[in-house]
Amino acid sequence: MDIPLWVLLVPFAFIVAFTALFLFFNVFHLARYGVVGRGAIGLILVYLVSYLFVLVLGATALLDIQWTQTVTLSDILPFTGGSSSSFGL
Amino acid sequence: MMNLDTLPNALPNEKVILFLRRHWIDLIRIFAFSGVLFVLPIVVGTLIELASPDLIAHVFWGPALVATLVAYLLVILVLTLTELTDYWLDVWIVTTERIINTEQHGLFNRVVSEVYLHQIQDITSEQKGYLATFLTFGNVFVQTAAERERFQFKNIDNPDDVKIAIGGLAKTCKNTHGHKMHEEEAPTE
Repeated sequence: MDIPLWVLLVPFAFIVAFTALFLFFNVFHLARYGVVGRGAIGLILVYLVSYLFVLVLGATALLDIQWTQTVTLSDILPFTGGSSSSFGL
Repeated sequence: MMNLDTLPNALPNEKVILFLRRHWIDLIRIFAFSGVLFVLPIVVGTLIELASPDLIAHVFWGPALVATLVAYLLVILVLTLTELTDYWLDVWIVTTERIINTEQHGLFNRVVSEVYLHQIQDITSEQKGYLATFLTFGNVFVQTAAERERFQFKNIDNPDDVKIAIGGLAKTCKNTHGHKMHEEEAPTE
């Protein structure tokens, strides 16, 4: 049975959506309940920049993978003679 | 956002005297814990590399590991940011008339309470442990006559100084309110 590699992206997308929601709530709380000043604005910027940094870094790593590739069950089980690398290494 | 110049339900001539947050040691704790969690994948990755060098280049497990790593980093980052928000939004404001306590517990639990200085009956400061003694942080408990739990300033810097400052303000406030009450009670002729 062939399994497309992109199925791995489905749980990944859920996790990204979950973290994005939490980021939104964090930013919302700071914007709504923080004390007026440079500190809160700076912290919101740090939140957004750090999140985008990890996301872009992760996306760069994930884009190197050929997600359209399919694998078989025997490929998934390690040490049973899976096919070649999907990284092109 | 909350503006310290225009506090909610501000009284006439009310001024902010102290604006307190938890001691920076709490920030160190947050970053240290997160740091360990961020470094953990490097250790696990090295162990995987040593145990099974081909696994990283595997057609399925390679991409699965990369996706898991990115997801893990995002979750740890967001958890760290949530702890940071918790730290940032825990504030105690002491004014010439009252104490406003704002505590954030996680993202969906927020408690805001206030106590008027003339209601204060007892103030206690405590520093427990070596670290608290060396870095001069600790708790301040404020007790009122009301049947409610003690008002607590958690892990603030210089709790003794804060206790003295609140004590002084409470005394001034009681004198002022005492005079006002006597004036109101005095019969008008």
